[in-house]
Amino acid sequence: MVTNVYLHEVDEHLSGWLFRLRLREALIWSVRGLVGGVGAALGLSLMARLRPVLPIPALVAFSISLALLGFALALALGYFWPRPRLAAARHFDRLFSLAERTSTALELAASPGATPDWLVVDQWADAAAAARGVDPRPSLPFKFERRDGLLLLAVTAALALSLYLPNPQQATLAQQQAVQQAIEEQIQQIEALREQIENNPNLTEEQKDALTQPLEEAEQQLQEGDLTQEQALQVLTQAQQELEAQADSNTQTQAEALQQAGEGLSQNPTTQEAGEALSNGDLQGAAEALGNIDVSQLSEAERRALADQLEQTAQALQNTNPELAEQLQAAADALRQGDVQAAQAALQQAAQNVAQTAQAAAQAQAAAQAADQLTEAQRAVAEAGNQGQQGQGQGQGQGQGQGQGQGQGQGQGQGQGQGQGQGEGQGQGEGGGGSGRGEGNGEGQGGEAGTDPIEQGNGAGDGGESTYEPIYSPFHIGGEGESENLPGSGDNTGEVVGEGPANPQDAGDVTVPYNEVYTAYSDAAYEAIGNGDVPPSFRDIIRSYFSSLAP
Amino acid sequence: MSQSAEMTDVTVQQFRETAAAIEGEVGKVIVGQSKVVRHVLICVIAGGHALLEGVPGLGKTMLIKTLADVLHLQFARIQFTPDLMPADIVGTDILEETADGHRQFRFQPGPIFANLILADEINRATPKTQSALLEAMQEHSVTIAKRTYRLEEPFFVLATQNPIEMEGTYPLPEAQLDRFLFKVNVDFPSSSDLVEILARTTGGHTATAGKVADGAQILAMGRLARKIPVPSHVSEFIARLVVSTHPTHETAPPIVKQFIRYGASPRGAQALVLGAKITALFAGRLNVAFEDVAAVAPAALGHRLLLNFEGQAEGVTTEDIVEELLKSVPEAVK
Repeated sequence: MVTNVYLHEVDEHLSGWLFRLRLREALIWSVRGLVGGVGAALGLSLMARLRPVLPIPALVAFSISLALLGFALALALGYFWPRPRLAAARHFDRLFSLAERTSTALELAASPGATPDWLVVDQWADAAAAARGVDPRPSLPFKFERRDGLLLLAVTAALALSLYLPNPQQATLAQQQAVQQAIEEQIQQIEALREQIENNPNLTEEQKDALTQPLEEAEQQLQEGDLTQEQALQVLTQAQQELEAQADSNTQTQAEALQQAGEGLSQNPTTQEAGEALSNGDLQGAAEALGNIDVSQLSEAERRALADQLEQTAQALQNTNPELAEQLQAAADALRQGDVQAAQAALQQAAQNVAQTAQAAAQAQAAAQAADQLTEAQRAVAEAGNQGQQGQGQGQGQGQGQGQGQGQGQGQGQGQGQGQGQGEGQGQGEGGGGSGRGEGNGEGQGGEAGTDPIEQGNGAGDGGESTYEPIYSPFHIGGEGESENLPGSGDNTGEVVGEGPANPQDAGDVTVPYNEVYTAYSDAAYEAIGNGDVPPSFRDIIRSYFSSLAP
Repeated sequence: MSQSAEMTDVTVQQFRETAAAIEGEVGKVIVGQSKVVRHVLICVIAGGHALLEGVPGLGKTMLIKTLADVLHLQFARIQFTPDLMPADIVGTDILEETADGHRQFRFQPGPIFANLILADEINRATPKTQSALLEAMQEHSVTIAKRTYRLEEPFFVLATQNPIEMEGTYPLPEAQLDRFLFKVNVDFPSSSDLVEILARTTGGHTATAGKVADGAQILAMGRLARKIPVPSHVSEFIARLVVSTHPTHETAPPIVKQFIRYGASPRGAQALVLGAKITALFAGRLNVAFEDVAAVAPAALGHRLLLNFEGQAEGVTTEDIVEELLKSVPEAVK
């Protein structure tokens, strides 16, 4: 390629014009990129007003990021856009009215063809002289188009307005986030509970597996993510019910009876160790102590005393553990008859029985504890959704609550209670969460009033007056049955104060276990909530109602 | 400018000076018509022939005669009439008796054996006579009785025709028109020019033009002009321009499709390039630009476009179509 001082000068001028063009294009396109970025942010902000996607701080951060990204990207594109030198030379020839001098100079430098050398040099000199006289500033000013500036102002104003104006989706988003956070916390709780069960020395591997399986399933489902509040509650309820099925109340009753029997056994020197262990709740230790009793080493008087004690203990345990009572009685009889071998064997059997009871009790206890924890988890998830909405100040209470029977009334939204509650309730109503129609005896404490201008307060009889709409009236569940007093929750030794017919036509005992009845109706209710069949304002009422009825 | 140009050739500066001098001398006799003078001079430098069209009395013949005087070229005028024979143009063999009494044929050259031929009212001669001239224009030679006589270079034919008196005329066919590099329309002078014409031609003093160049210089100027480079995108533009004159081509604008029956031949593109090169030199530039092409396009392409019946009925001129083409055909293709 031929080179020359004139050609070099032309090249330098061309480079300078090209640099100025790149800067100018970068400036113009950066403004357009900013418009694009702010426009995208505006679109995101408008979408956030239709669907709960992002909270306001995140929207602001995204808006700034999009604007900066658009600006930077367009700036880079404007500057680094490929501009071949020959094409640029042709562009500048037109722009600066150089009559194709620059582009001809470049073409002759690359390939002179049949043009004589002297003419090539003269053309370069002519091109250089013409380029020298060019002032690129008027043709390549550093300013952006007014239209772009106005557009930027318009979209920025629209974005600011859409971010500043109250967004109805933020409440929903806050609720969702609160629920998700609660779910995350409960997942950790469930994980800790599983570890606790795994480390329980009183449980066999089979018992551990049986206890941890519902927890693992619940944990897995909760970890799938994107669960609604209703779905999470359903998962927790399912696991809770499975664990409650393992919390054999009979086993617990036996364990308690044994514990009480320990007091008597500890009076006898022979059975003192076993009795003390029983009194301390160490059933396994008691079983070992019982098994270690060597009847052959006892004197006659000791055998008689032991027999008496065993017989006493057998009588005490007759109702709760007939098999153990029989074994103890057999041991006592054998002692009285002087049959040491038989007495020893009976004692061994009794010791095994106590050991089995110990294991069963441990499992039942662990299951009960786990079920209780899952109940707390349900409460936490249910409360999380309510608190999320509360944070946005959406109380519209119209309570008429008069005490709520039992349970945790968590009124929110348009609560319309008509309770004559007599149970021990702990209402946490927010602006009218009166729900539930238990007719227990007790004092219900209505929840705190919300911030709604409508009459609030859902305590006993101090709520606002409104017409009760029995959409999910408990009176209609199970038919028009007689009123029943429900037993207190959590108290396994409480009396059953009443039994009633499941069907008005049939008299007699209840034939369907309460657990099954409750499960069927609670599942149906949660399903209806999940399908959106229940108005939003009633969902919390229904959840709290079924939570209060949970066995 | 460098001094390394060939000694037998002219430099760019010399070109400009000579061209300016020619135009200046012609301007002493011909008032106004600067565009016509420029186009005719371009034709002469390019080695082509020009067809001047205009009503009588506009100085077409005077222009060519003045140009012949300025260029120190042998000038011949042929007045075309319907009874003009080919031999009247090219010459003929005549029988003559030698000093010793023998008779022999001697070729008597016709008026075509000159450097600058004025073919006045070329459309009044018969096609046979026209063809005799046109053959000489193409071949730069004449053939008589199986003998070929070369015409001396430079050889230019500057023909004229009257657009008004069409009765009894034989319009040149399109194929013959294509042999003229340029067709220049001579317009009626402006009132100020007319005043100047009156002052020069009706007074006691008659302006004359001096000789400022000769045939060798004209040839050298032509050789220099052919060396001027054409940038590739300008060449492509010229090609797109010529192709767009054909109504069947996809790039033809609507006006071409509506009024043109047939477009320009490749000779039209050659005329554009040569004319643009010389125009660039006139501007003192050593490369062809788009403006140079635009300056010569009407003269180079106007006579090569064939109007259809609708164009003739609408009174559309080919120059108008060429102007429209210059606006519609893009200079750059992305």
